[in-house]
Amino acid sequence: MTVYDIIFYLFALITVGSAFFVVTLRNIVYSAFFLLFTLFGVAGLFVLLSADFIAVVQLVIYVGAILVLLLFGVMLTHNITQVQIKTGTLQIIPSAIAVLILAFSLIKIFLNTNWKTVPLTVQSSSVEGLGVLLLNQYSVVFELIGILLLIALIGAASMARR
Amino acid sequence: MVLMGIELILNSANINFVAFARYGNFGNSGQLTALFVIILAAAEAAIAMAIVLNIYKMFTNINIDEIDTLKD
Repeated sequence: MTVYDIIFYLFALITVGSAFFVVTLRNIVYSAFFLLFTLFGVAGLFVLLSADFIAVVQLVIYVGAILVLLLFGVMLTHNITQVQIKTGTLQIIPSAIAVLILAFSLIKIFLNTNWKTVPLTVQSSSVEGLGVLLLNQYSVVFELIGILLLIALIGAASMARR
Repeated sequence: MVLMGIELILNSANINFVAFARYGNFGNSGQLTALFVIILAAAEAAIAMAIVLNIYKMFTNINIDEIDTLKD
């Protein structure tokens, strides 16, 4: 059990624990704040996986933009007095069966796969490699995603104005 | 509520991408895919927020159990 393992389990615990609260809590504002902890935990996991750029992007986009947008939506669409939302548990038996089947098959696959790992090398930073990859091998995807963001922006603006 | 669930699912997929990119022999492609997923999540959140605001204007609540028409 090295320090790395301890930090990993700490972050994993933060992530999974607050994700559980996001789903189960009935007050939607509390859920949003627990989502914040989940996103921070995921960013920490990215740092541990030596994906520093992804971690920073995660913090900037998720915590900085998406979460603020979600909170904004929650505040705009709820009277603060009646923020309780009904989380229906009508379909709990079929969903439990489906989740059990999925989890069983995932664990089965996980145990039966012969995992090949490369020896870990200490990378200094992944930013340069990502940039080269983004503008050479994945340039079409890069352009497409730019166009998609533009379309999403225009669509959201025009839809919200109606 | 549903939106937060979607964000959680996308995040878990991202963890998988980055972890396989770290321990497998794929270079940085996995991290780049995670980046694209993050961008898609941002676009999706913006669109979804516009839809939610419209729904709120129409029904004055956003409880998805009570929203059953697309047009009035």
